[in-house]
Amino acid sequence: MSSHREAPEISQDPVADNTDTYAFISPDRPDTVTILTNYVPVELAAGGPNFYEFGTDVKYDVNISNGGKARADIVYSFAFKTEVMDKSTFMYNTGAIKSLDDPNFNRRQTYSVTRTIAGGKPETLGTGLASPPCNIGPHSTPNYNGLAEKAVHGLPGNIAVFAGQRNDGFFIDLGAIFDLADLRPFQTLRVAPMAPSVGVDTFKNSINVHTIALQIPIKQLTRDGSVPKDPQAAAAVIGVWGSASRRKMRVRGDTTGQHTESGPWVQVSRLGNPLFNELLVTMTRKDGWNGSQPSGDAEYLDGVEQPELSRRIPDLYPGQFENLRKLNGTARSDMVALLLTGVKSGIVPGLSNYTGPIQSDMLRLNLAVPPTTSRQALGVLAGDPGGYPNGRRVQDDIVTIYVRALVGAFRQFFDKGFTPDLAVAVVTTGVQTPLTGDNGGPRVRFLNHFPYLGDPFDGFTTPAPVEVNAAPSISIPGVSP
Amino acid sequence: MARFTRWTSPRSTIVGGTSRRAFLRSSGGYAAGAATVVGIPVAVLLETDSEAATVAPKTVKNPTTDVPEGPVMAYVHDAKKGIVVIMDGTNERTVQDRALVQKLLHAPKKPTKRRRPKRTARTRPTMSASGGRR
Repeated sequence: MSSHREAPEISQDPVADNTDTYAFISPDRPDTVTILTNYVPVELAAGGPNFYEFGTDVKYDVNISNGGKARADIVYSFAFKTEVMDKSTFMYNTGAIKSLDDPNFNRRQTYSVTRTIAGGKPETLGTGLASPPCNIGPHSTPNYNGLAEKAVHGLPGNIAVFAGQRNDGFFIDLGAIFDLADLRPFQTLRVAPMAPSVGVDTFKNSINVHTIALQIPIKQLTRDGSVPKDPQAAAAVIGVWGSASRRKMRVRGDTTGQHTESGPWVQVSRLGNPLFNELLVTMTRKDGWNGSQPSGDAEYLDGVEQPELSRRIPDLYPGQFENLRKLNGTARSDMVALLLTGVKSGIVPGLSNYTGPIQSDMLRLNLAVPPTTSRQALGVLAGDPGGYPNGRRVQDDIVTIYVRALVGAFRQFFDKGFTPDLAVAVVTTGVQTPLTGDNGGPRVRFLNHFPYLGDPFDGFTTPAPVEVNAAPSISIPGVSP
Repeated sequence: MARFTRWTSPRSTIVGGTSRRAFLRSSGGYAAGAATVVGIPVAVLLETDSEAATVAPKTVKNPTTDVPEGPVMAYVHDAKKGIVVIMDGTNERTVQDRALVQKLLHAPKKPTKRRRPKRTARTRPTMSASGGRR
């Protein structure tokens, strides 16, 4: 998965596990950037009675680098509190939740947002901001969409913020890709071939996540307060990553019977480019990577220059990737540029997101590239400059883009003598991009407005119940009609 | 989880030694200096120094060191070297104080009362649901 449970230690700490980061020019507010960072991987919609929530002992940061040094020049920090309204009950809610302050909403979370610029004094932007409940079902959360809309708050400076449950928009065929890099549409070409089939969208209609979403005016994100119009302007490109930190020390059940914490915040998770830690860092180094800063990512250069999956694919799909096999003997400067420095203007058509020579995993977004009206899920590879690897939109088909990049789709732009294998242009996971709609609903994965990830799947109808007519009608003699 | 690096002696952050002379050198005085650098009550700290222990009570009668509102946590990273890491709030300091570690290691244990258990229904060993004795 993009970064769901991607490292051994963080996989044991879901509330701090940063699963995906998105950054894009807001299509409906093109003077703003939307940044989404997701946490708590693979939430089962019906996972009660203690439904999922943010960690009250975790500091969630949205980091923006705008100075070309791969440092967090602007940090938005989120801290959550949980309140139990009625301590006499075990229930998450004691009736239908019709508003964010409904007395029936028993276990609720609020949060604060602070902004720190250039390591200065943190500035509080908002406190006591309400998160929506989890989407439980028609009896508990009958108008979930209305609740979620009320949980979009305004902050000073025309910033919008949301923090709460969403459906996980990451679309991927997990079952196939984790079964030794199987791509169902190409199973006939694989060692131990099988009949081809379409990809299975593992998260479809089932899996939720917790999202921190910010929509920030562009001029608040550039180093000089400008709104860049020239993609080659010095201030045009920002780097974005999410991170989560915990206090260094924790004593369980001290003399007060409570957990007590102290010490500096220690980063335990981060995410810039999707799949970086997942695919390019070896297992024993993944948690170390999670605790490190992007500016030190030169340490992980080996996994980018010689991606393991690129080395394995020619053997997994014999005869299909022979040019890649030869390429594997060289350092992959194309991958280094795509993931660690950004790409200078004039190399890849439509892509200009160079942030300087410091090798660092950040999601790089050129603020001067307007959102495209005819969105292509393959982003820059399909001639759409508004998509990955120029930032990342919720609709971008990250896995297919990534697989194609690994097998050399971008290489030809960096090395004119390289000819990609014929399979590169057609390789895909075979998963359709989910639908985007105006209103939240159980089957609309993406919204065309903030926070862009659709309403979470509710526990009552996920998985879908059997058809009404198929279930026997139960009657109690003397009671039921 | 956090990135762990190989432990190297953090000379720049360690308050070297606990001799009275060393403290005077590093702090420029007793109460304020030692409290600032080490971050634990001065009286306690000085008491750990065998040489200073005899002097401290006379010098610091009423310690005025700010006491953090939150808990102060510490752990002995390396008992042999006397490396102690102390945290209060979001601050962290590493000190080298062999005497403090010795004092912690030899802190008197709470005396345990030895009672002969009675074989009553209440104290009789029971089995947990998983079958283990609890």
